[in-house]
Parts: sequence; structure tokens; C-alpha cells
Amino acid sequence: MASLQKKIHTAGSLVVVGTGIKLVGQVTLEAQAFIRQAEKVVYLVSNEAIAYWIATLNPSAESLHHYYADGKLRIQTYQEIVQHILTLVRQGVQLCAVFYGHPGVLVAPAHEAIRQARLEGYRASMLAGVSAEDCLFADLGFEPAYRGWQSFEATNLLLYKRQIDSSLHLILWQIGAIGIQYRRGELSKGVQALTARLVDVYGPDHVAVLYEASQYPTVPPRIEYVRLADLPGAEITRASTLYVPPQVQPTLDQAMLEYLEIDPDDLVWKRN
Amino acid sequence: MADDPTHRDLKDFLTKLATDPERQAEFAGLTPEELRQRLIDEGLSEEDADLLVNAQSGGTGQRDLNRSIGGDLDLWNVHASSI
Repeated sequence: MASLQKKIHTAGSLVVVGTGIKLVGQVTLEAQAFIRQAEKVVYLVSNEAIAYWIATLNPSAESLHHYYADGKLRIQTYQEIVQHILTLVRQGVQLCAVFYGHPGVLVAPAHEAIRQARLEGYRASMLAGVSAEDCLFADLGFEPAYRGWQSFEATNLLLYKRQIDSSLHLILWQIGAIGIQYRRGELSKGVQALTARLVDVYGPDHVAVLYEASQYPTVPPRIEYVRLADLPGAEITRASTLYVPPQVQPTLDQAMLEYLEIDPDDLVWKRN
Repeated sequence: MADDPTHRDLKDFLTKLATDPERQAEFAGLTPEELRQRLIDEGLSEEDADLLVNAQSGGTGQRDLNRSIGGDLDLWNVHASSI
């Protein structure tokens, strides 16, 4: 058993933290402490205000932004980011890697860096953060658990022909990057494909919400209602998330109600 | 990115405002004209004050603010892990 255990290096280590979406206010106290106390900080954030703030906490902070380039496959960028992180950890650095949003939600390099660091015997962990979806629940004001919800990265939904349940809340991430493998790319084909898929399920007149979480204090989120058929003409950005509300009521399992001895009038979520 | 001095006053202002709900509430009660003047009185340039006032009005204001202080929305691609 002991022979299977990897030796834990005492020097290099990695902790991955998130900044949330809204400037500074969504950074947890724990994440802030790790940024401040790290021997070295690397970061990938969505605006310079948060980069500025990170640098005030820890002057060692270094952006990973330069790994992005026009015409470069994103997967290559991810690999280079992972290698940059691992190189520092192997050098014995106690490293804090900072990503915007939740660092473990749709941030492939963060997970991969932790996986590889652990494989090599280094301490590596991730702290939870605030994602765009968390902001959406708060800003649009619905309780997702009552109805249940589906949450897909938009390209994933299309590529794998995911089954949409129109009795659930539907959240689609990255609708501004459908099918785009490079830093910049043509958006319209992907949006048209997504529109066709959604109209097929909900019909053209079902109203969805184009959502962009607030990134700055006192600045409101973008909440724009749009008929599904009008989606191709809507202003969609890299920051846009699409929320599609439920269209039909779910069916209660009467036999299960009886088995669990639940009075249907007592169900809190029947009204949502 | 962090060493870019562009709009440094605005970045500093925003990071401090982010953890000051009392001032946020105060600003929310001002008209756009009052807010603009208040921001200038607090030391922001006219350009930075306009950026923040426009961002508060919704629409594309947040995007303009983001771009002006060096935001790169292409970075949102980091989240698109399907391909």
C-alpha cells in the first residue's frame, strides 16, 4: 500500500482560486488570503480592473493572457497555460493561479493543471468561486431546484444532441462562442443552429433571456428578453448566457406521492 | 495587463467601490448628471466618469467600460471547453 503512495513534495504547490464575475466583491476571503500569501501568482481574468487589484494584493502577479493569439487553437493555449503553471510548481514555487468566475466551471486548464500536479506528487487544490450561473439565479430571481434545471455549454448541446426537457429551466453557456475553436471566429452559423434546435423544442414565440452578469459595482446585469425566433438578430457577445424558462408543467408521479405519503398541496415547488 | 497604467484611477476607484455598499447605494440614488459630477468631484477624469455613468445605464455601457479599461471578452473563450 505504502509503495503505491506518491511522495508529497514539500516545496512546490498549487492552489487555484476564482475571482467571481463581479469585480472584487465576489472573491472569497479565503481566495483573497491565498492570493496575498502566495509566493507567486498567475492569473487569467476578464478585465484590467481585477488584474490591477490582484497586483495590489501580490506584486508577483503575472498574466497568462499572452498565450492567446489570433489563429491559434484554444486547446494549444490551454496546454501552454497548464505547462506554465506546472513549470513554476516544479521549480518549487508555492503558486496561486487565479481565474475569473468559478475556477472549476468550464475552465479546462485549471482542472488539468491540478490533475497533472497531483500526478507528479505536488499539493494541488481548488477553491470554489462564483460562476455566471450563480449570478444568473440571483439576478433573474428563480429557485432552480424547485423545477430542476439543465445547464449545457452551447456547443456541447449541439454536438452531442443533448435532450432538452422543456419542463425544466434551461441555461446555455457560451452562446457567443458556438463552434469557435480559435480566439476569434464567425458566430452566426452557431447561433442559427442553436436557434433551430430551440425553436424545434419550444416553438418560435417562446421568450428567453439574454443574460450577462454585472462585472462592476453599481453596473446592472444585462437582462434582455428575446423570442427564440429572433435570437439570430439579437446582440450576442462572448459574455452572453441564454436562459430559457420552462414551457410545460412536469408530471407528478401519483404512485410515488402516495408511497411517500405527501399531500400534493404541500409541495412547495409546484408553484415554480 | 496589471502594469498597464491606462485608466488606473478608474480601476482603483472601482475596486474600492466594490466593497463599499453604502457608497454604491448612495450612487444608485443619483441622476446620471449628478453621478457624473460626483465622480468628477471625487477625482475621476471626465472620460472615466462618462464610462461609468454610461455603464450604469445598461445596454452596451458595460461592454464599453470593459473595453476601455482593457477587458478582453475573447477571454470568455477559456470557458468553452467542448472544442
